[in-house]
Amino acid sequence: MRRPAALAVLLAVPLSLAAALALGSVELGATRLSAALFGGGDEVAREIVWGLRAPRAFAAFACGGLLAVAGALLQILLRNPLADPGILGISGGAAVGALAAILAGAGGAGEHAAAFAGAMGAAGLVMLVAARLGTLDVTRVLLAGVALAAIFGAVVSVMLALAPAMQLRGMLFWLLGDLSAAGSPAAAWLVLAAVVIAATALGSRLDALALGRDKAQSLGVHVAAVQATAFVAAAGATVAAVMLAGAIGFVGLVVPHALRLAGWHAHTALVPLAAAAGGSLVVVADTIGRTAVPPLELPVGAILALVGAPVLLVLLARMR
Amino acid sequence: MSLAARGLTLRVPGRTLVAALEIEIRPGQCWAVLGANGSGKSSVLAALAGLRTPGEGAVTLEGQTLGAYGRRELARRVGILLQDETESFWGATLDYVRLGALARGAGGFAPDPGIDRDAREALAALDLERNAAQPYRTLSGGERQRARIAQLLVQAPRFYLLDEPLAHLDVRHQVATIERLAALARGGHAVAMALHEPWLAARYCDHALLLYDSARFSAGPAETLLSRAPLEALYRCPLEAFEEAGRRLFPPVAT
Repeated sequence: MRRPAALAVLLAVPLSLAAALALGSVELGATRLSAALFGGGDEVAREIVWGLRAPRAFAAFACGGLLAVAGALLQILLRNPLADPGILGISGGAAVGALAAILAGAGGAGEHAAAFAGAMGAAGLVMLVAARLGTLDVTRVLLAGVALAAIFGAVVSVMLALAPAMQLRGMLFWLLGDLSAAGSPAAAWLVLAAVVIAATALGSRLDALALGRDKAQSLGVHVAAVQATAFVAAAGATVAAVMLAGAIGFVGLVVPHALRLAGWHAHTALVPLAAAAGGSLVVVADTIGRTAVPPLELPVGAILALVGAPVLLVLLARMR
Repeated sequence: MSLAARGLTLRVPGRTLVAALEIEIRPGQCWAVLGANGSGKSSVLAALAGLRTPGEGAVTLEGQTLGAYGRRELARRVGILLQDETESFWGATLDYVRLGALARGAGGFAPDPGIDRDAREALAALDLERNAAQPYRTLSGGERQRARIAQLLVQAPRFYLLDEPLAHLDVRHQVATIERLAALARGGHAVAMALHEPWLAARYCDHALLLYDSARFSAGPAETLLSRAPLEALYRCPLEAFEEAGRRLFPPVAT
């Protein structure tokens, strides 16, 4: 059906990654760059391309892909078009952990561990609420997530108010979503692969959830199992993404909608394309953020909204 | 082979909808489920489809409780048209109708030409051929209703449960749809449908289940139940009865 367009979305993956490797605050020039890309050339160029730019580009991709897939899953799971990974309070929990660590003067490792603890704590709380209900009661999970996010938001603002000016900048960047401190993206890629495979395999059973719980069940879907799988996948994806880059907003909300508006509604296509499009979008946004006003770096979250929101508006205007 | 309610009691908070319901629906039969608003028609149908846990009693399929069947096994045998569906489906009408085939174990990555053919046939049967490529969410209310029925035809269960299948349909499509459903029963399927039109029930159904406000019920042959006195008691509304050329009509008495 929409093969050529789908191919274009998939092609954005290598193109965006190549651009991220080629562009940066240091101009390498075509010859040094191409030599370094294929593992030759001088050591400095190789280190810039593969030691600095590549891990960050791959981290950006994993982060965007995870958030977009999590958003797609949550939108169908909660049957709410405004659902995005932030709605479960997971990024809020991670933010509380990370900011507390920054405030306490912990280093990068401590900050990372605290963010992970916060994210897992929040994910555990939401899942506990969901599991207590036996079945996934959509409205209650949504409200529980909103309540958690509100609590975390309050704690974050208190910490920001109390923080000394020195640490304020680091905390703010964490909240805006920042890839400069991203660690190795290997774990996030594993999570991305697992989540994409799991969600794609659910496929048309996810499509049936759009018809409501009872209809899906009467069509032979094990609704509780599908919901639980999708929920765990979405939570896991969010935790992995937040660990890499903090609270990057917008991708999870907008990428799935953009793809649906462009005509991909079936989850067998929507999930892999969301991973590809979300990943590429964040790579592009981060590359712009790194190169627009060197040597300064603009927060990737802000660039994303500036690039992505107009795209969504155009799609909305063109929608029949 | 039958789908049966055995001592089925259904409650909503503060009220018993039906108490100790006993019915047995067999292939070849066409049942009308009649009752006033809130009398429990939808709940009974949902319970028969295994979507509602009975307060007491059980629903059995071929002698076994519904819980003994896997969800797919059940979906291949019993299908239901619900009164309301969440309408957040983004795809084309054809894609919507194809979802009926989920329980067949297909629905993998490769498009299945058999399902596609069935879906197009079902669309044609409900006069929706020209809407196949139209986004489902842009269909009118009546078209959506027919698309839902088409999806049920693709599901192709043995037992068809339909909650107000004629809602939102214009006269021509009402007749075409109920004739199609009656034909399913004649062809060896079982059909049970909640209706608000006793005259259509009298014309097309051979069995009736009347659900009274007091949680009582009557079940049996349409001939005896679909007559003036039981219907007046059912709707608590004076009715006239006309019979012409073997067809019965029950217009409400003008006050």
